[in-house]
Amino acid sequence: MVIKKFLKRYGWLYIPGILFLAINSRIQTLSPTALGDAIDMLEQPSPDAGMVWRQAGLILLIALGVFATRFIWRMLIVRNARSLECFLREELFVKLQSMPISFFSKQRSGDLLAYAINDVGAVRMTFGPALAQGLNGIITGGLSIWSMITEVNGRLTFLALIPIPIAVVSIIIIGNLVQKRFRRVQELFSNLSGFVNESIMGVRVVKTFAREKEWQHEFERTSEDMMRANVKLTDTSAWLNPITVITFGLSYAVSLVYGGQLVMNGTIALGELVAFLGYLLLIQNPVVALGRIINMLHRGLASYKRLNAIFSEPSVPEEEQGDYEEEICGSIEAKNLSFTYPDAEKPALEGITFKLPAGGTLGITGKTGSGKSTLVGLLLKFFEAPRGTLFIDGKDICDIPAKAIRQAAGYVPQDGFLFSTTIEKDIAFYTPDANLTEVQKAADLANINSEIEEFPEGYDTEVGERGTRLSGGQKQRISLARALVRDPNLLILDDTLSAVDNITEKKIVDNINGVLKEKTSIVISHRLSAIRGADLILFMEDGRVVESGTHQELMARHGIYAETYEKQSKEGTQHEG
Amino acid sequence: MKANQKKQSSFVRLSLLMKPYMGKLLICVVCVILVNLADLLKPYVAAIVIDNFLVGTSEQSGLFSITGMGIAYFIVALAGALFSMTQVRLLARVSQKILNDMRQKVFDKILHMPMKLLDRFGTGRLITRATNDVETVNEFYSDVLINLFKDVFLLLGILVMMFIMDPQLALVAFTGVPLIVLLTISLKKVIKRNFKRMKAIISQINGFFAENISGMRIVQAFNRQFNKLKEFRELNNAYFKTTTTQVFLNSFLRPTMEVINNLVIALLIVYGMGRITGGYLEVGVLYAFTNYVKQFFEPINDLAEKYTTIQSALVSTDRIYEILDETDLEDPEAGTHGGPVHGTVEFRDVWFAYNDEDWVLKGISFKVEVGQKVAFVGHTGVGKSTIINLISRYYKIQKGQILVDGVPIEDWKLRDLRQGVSTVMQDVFLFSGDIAENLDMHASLPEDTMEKALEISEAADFVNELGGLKTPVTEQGLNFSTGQRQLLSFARAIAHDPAILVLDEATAHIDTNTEEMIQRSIENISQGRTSIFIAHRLSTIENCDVIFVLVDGQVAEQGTHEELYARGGVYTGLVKAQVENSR
Repeated sequence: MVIKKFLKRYGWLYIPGILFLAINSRIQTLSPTALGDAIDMLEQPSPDAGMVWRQAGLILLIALGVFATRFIWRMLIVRNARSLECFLREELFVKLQSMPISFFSKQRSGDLLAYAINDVGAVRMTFGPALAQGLNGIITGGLSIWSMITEVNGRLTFLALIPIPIAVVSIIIIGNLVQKRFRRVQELFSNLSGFVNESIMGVRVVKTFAREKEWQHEFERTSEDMMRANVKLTDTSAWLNPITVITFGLSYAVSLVYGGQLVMNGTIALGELVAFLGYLLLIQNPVVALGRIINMLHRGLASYKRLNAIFSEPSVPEEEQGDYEEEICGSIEAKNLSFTYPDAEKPALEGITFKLPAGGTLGITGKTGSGKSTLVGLLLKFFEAPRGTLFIDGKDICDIPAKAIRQAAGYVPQDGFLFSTTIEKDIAFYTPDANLTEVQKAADLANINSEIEEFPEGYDTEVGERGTRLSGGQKQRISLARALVRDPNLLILDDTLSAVDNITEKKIVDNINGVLKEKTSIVISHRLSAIRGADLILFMEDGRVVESGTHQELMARHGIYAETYEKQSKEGTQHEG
Repeated sequence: MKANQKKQSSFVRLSLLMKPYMGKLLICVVCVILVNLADLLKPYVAAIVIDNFLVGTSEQSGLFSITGMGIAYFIVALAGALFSMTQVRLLARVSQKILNDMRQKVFDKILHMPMKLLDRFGTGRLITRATNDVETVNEFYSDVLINLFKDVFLLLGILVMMFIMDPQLALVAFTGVPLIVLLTISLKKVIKRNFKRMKAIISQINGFFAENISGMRIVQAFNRQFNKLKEFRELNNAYFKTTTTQVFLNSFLRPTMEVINNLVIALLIVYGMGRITGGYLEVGVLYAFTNYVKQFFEPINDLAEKYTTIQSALVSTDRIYEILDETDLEDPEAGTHGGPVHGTVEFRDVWFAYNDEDWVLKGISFKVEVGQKVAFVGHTGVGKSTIINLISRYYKIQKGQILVDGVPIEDWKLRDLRQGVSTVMQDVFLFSGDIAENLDMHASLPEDTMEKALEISEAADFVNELGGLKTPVTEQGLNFSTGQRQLLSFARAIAHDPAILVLDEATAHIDTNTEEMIQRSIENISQGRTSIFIAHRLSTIENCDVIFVLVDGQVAEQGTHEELYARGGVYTGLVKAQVENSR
C-alpha cells in the first residue's frame, strides 16, 4: 500500500529508466560484432584503411553510448530506489509517531529500529540494484544469445551453451547455502560480541568470584565456534567462482574447437567467431550475479511484508488530534474507574473513585506496580479509559482530544528521558522560542540551574550518547524543568524525584510549591514527605485505592499510610550520589 | 617520521603473526601464481588457435591442433579453478586461526587486568579493541594479504605476456594504464569521502529514530510530533543528497574505465592495421591483447581499495597491541599462601590513593574477627566504599598492610583470596542467560545449593513465581526490578559460601516494601560468616558487633550503636542529621 503511494509519485521514473536500460543492453551487445568485424578487416591481405579507422571509431562510439545510457539509467533507477528508501523511512517515522503508546509497550524498540534500518534497506535493494541487474541480465543475455544464433551459427550456439544451465543451477544452490552459512556466522558474531561486551562490563563480578579461567574457556569455545563457522562459509563460497570458471571455460573451449572447424570449412568468418566469444563473455556476468539477485528479491519481499504489517496497524484516531475550544483547568474526577491493559488478564486499576478540584494537588503513593503510573497514562490518554469513568473539568475524557489535554499538561516521566541535544534545547522542548532566562528560571525551580552553570559549556552542554553523562537525578531535574518552563495548567510528576536525595527533593518541593498551589498537580512518590502537603492523597495497592484523604486524616486513621510514614521517618533514608 | 616508524613496526607485527603458518601461506602464494598463469594463458591459447590454424595454415598434428588447443584451454581453466579454490580454503584456515588466537589473547589480557588498568582503558574502549579492531585486522588477513599479491602479480603478468607477444603493441596498450590509475585513485578518493559522509548521516538518522522510539511518550505528551518530523526530514533529505552524489560518482567509475578500455582497443586496431599490412602482426595476438586490456582495471581498482584496508588494519593493530603489550597483570594462581579463608581481616596503617598522592585512606587500622559483623559509616566521600576495593586486592595499597587470616593479602593466591572474600557491589551486574547461570558463574554448583541461596536471600519467592532457576535473564538483568536484582546478587554471593562477605549497601531508592525484603535478606546472608557492611543508611546497622566511624580517611570512633550514640560524637551527629532530613 505504501509502495503504491510511492509508485504513484515517483513510479513514472522507472519507465524512462527501464527504457534506457534496454537501450544500454542493446548497445552493449553490439560491441562483440564490432570487434569481430574489425578482426575480419585486418585479416584481409590489404585492409582498407578508411574502413578500419571507421571501425575503430565505431568501437569507441559504442563505448560512449554504453557509458551514456548506463549513466542515465543508473541515475533514474538507482537514484529512484534511494528516494524510495528515504520515502519509506519518513513514512515509517510518521506512522510510528501516530501510533498509540500501547503499541510501543508491545514492541521492543530494537525491533522497530530494525524496520527502519534493515527492512527499508532490503526493499531499496529490490527496487534498485536487484531490479536493474535482473532486467539488465535478462535483456543482455537474451540479446546475446539471439545474436549468437542469428549472426553466427545456431548449432555452435547450442553446443556452446550446454554447460551454462549447470552453472545457473549450481550457483543458485550454492548461493542459498552460502546465505545460510553467512547467517550462521552473523549469529555467532553477535553472540561473540555480546559475550565480550558483557564480560568486560561485568569484569568486576568475574574477578569477585575469581572465575577468570572459566570465562576464558567459555570465550575459547565461542571464538572457536566462530572460527569454524567462518571456515565453513568460505569452504562453500569458494565453489562459486570455480564453477563459473569451469563451465564457461568448457563453453569457451567448445566454441573454440567447433567454431574453429566452422571457420576452417568456411561456414563462418574468423571475425564472427571472435564476436561469438565476446557474446559468451557478456552472458557470464548475469549468470554470476544470478544468485545474488534472487537473494535480494527474497529478502526484499520478506521485508516488504514486515513493513506492510507495521503500516497496517491502527493509528491513533484523527479526532484525538483535533481542536478543543475550552481551556483545560484540570479538575479531575474518577468514577469507579477500572482499566485492564490490552493483552493483560489482571486489571491494572479497579474501582478508583476520587475528585480533585481545579488547582488542587493530588498525591499518589504505593508499591511499584500498584497502578500509579497507569492512572497518569489514562489521564494523558496514552491509554483509553472506559467511557463514563474519568472526567476532566466535568467532561468525559473520551470526548476531549488527546492533543488538547497534552497541550495543557506538563508531564515529567520517571526515567528522566532526555533527547541528545543541548540542555537548553531539552528544557525548551515544548517552547523552542523560550529565551534563556525563562529556561534558567525553570531550571532554578527544579534546583538544577547552578549545576548546569558549573558545566564547562553551561546550557550548551550536549546530553546523551555524544555528550556529558548526567546522573539519574540530574536527568530527572532537567526533565522537570522541561515541564515547568511551559507553565502548564496540569502538572504531572510521575515519581519524578526518585533518584534525587531527600534534601534536594525537599528544596525542589519548596521551590515549586508556588506552582503546585496555583495549578492542578499530580505528584507520585514513594517518599511520603514529598506528598504530605497534597490536598488529597491516594494510597494504592494492586490497582485499588486502599486509603485516601489528607495527611492529617490519614495519620489519624493509623492505617498503612501512617505506618509507612512512621517507618520512613525512622529510617531516615539518606542518599549518596 | 616517528609515526611512520610506528606503522612499520605494526606491519612487522602483523607479519610476525603469520610465521607459524609460513608453509601454508607459501602454498597459497604458489596457488595464486598458478591461478594467474591460467588467466594469462587462456587468451594466449585462443591466439594460437587463431594465428596458427584459422589465419595461418599450420599443419594440425596430435595435440597441436584446434581440438588439442580446446582441450588445453579447458584443462587450464579447470586447473586455475581448482588452484583458486585450494588457495581460498587454505587462506581461510590460516587467517581464521590467526584471528582466533588474537581474539583469545586480547580477551585473556583484559580478564587479567587489574582494576586500575581497567579503569584507565575504560569499558567502551576495551570492547572496541576486542571486537571492532580484531575484526579490522581480520580483513587484512583474509582479504588483503593474498589478494594484494594476486593483483600485483596479475598486473605484472599481463605486462610480461604482452611484451613477450609483441613489445610494440604492448607499448600502445600501456597508454591506457596511467589514465586508469589516475582516474581510479582520484575518483576513489571522492567516493570514499562521500561514503564517509553518508555513513555519518545514516548513523545520525538511526540514532534519531531510536531516540524517538524510546522517547515517544514525551514526544506525544508534549505534542511535538510535527517538530520532530521536521528535524527528521532535514536529516533524511541530507542523506538523500549524499546518496545521489554516491550514485552519480559510482555511475562514473566503472563505465569510464570501459570507455578507456575501448579507446585502447580502438588504438590497437588502428595501430595493428599498419603492422599487419607489413606482415609482422598476427590477428590472434591482437585478439589476445583486447582480452588483456580488459583485465587491467580490476587489479588496479582492487589495489586502490586495499590501500585503505591496510591503513586501518595498521591502526587497529596498534590499538590491539596497546592491550597485548600490557604486562602489569593479575595472576590468580600466583602467591605463596593458598587454601580456604577463615575470616579475620586486619588493616594496619593502610594508606591508599587512586591517583598519586590524592589520599583517600590515611593510615587506617582496624581488625575484624571471625564471624563478626561490622559496619563502616561516615560522610560521603570519606572512603567507605574504597575499603571494599582493597580487601580482595582490586587495587594495591601504597603503604601499610592488609591481612586476611593473619597473612598479608599480597601473599595469598588471588583465586583463593577472592573465593573466600565475596564482595557485593551497589550497582548489580547480571549476565544474560538464566538465573542458574548467574548464580553458578561456571562453577558447577549443585542445584540445591543455588536454591538454598535463593531461599536465604529472600529471592526464592519471586524466582519460583517466574519459573525457578531456569528463568531467563535479559541483558544486564533489565527484566528484574532494582530490588530483585539486588536480592539476586546476594544469592549469587551466598551460593559460593564465602567466609567473608563484604557488602556495599545500595543507595538507590526503592519502595519501602522491597527495602524491608532486602533488610531481611542481609540479615540472613550474614549469618555464620564475617560480614563487613558499608552502610549508607544507619537504621540497618544497629545490631552490628562493631561500628567504625570514618572521618578524613581514618577511624575516628568505634563501638556498638549504643556505645557510640551515647558518646555524643560524630556518630550521634550522623544519626541526628538523618532523622532530620527525612522529616
